[in-house]
Amino acid sequence: MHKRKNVKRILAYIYMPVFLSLIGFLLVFICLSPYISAVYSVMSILSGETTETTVDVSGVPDFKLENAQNQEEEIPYSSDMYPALGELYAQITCERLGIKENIYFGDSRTELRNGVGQYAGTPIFGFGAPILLGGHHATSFAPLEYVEIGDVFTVVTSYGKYTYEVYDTRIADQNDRSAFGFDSNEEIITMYTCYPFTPLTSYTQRLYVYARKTSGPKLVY
Amino acid sequence: MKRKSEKKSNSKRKFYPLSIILSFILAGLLAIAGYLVGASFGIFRSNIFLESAAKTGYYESVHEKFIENAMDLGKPMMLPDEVFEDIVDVDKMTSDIKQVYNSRIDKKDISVDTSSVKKKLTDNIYKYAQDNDIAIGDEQKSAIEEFVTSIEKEYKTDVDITYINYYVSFRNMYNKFFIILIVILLVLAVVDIVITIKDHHYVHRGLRYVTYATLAAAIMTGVLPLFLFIQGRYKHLNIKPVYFYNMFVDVINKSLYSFMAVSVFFILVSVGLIIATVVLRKKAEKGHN
Repeated sequence: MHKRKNVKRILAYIYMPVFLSLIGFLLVFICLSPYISAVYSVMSILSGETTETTVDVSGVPDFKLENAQNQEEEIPYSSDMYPALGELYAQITCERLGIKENIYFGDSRTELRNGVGQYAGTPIFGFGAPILLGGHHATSFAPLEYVEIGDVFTVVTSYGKYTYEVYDTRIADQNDRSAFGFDSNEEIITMYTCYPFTPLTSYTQRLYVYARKTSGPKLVY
Repeated sequence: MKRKSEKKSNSKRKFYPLSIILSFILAGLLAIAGYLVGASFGIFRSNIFLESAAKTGYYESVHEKFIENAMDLGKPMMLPDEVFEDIVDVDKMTSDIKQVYNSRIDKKDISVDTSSVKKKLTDNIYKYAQDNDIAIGDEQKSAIEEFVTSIEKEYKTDVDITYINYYVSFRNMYNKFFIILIVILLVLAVVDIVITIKDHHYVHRGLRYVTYATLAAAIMTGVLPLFLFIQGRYKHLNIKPVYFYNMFVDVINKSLYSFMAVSVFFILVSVGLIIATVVLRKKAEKGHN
């Protein structure tokens, strides 16, 4: 009899607190459920892998001009052609100027630290629209100081090789958006960099170099 | 005045609805008090961010990031990376970060001494110009001054912990009400315990219901933080930069530990109450006999 009473007492120390806490959790859940689901929605939006915005230069693809595939006039577009932000996806060269630089999709400090950055608001090569490329005048675009009309730039991507011929250059204020070349209705590359090419001065101007496409496959849907 | 026979029948009563309700209320009061205390020793502790910063290498990462950003900003000026390598050391940056943080916590004016950073950078730039035969005229002096000021601004931004303003305003709001709430909760808890014990003929029976409440409070303050800690959803928030994310996760971990510590405290109190209940019951049984 005593034993049964003791077992009951011990069990009561287990089921009573559990019962009380379940009632407590239920009450809190009922009262706060709109806020709980809102918090979870926000957390779902903010979820993802936290990684540093870096550009992986360890495995830089060896873009060889002769290996570039798809020299046909038109090639079908597929979504895996489109690079992610910060991704190395092309190489630009100019034999006469000695330019050989990687092109990264995006033009933040990280991309420009490692090469030429493409403004992510412009499409990839082959879509027949203007493309804006930026680079530092002390590093990747330093040779643009000596650019001339008629210079040929070659861009090699995983899906094709493109050539562009310089037809114009311009010095404009850094905030002059009309200099970006967005009003062109053909595929041109606008390469821009800080101007002048002298050290330790204020750089409120930019050198813009415009080159129109002369060869390369067209991407079609 | 109750008759003896009525008092006897009260002592044989098996079901105490009032005690169960009071036990539930007490559990709620203790759980709320537990969360308030846990938050006070956890997320709202004044130097929790600095402790986590030291543990996760935050200061070193901020220093590295600042130097890297300065080098990036120097590229348009055609300045090489060497100009920036020694403009500030980790110790100075650590000291400035702590000073800004403490100023925000104490609601004081923030002043960061950037004179040494500016002087070192300016000296490095002029030395570079001298070594490379670059003429420094008025235009160059003005450009250098403007550039050094922009690096100074960058430094002041980097020594300020991101979103700390929001944290400080939450913390101040919390501290305003914490003491008042804790006092109210403890007074209500004491009243609840007294009524619970009075509801019973024997003290040890009333004490059992108090123990149920403390154990329930232990479950309520411990299970949720333990669940969040094991599930780790907060570790999957996309927060940048990475060094801030590491510090943030460490702060959340420490906060969850503090809630779990409160739960352990309630368990220890419950153990003490169980021992007291057993002792009192044995005394009561001896008295009966």
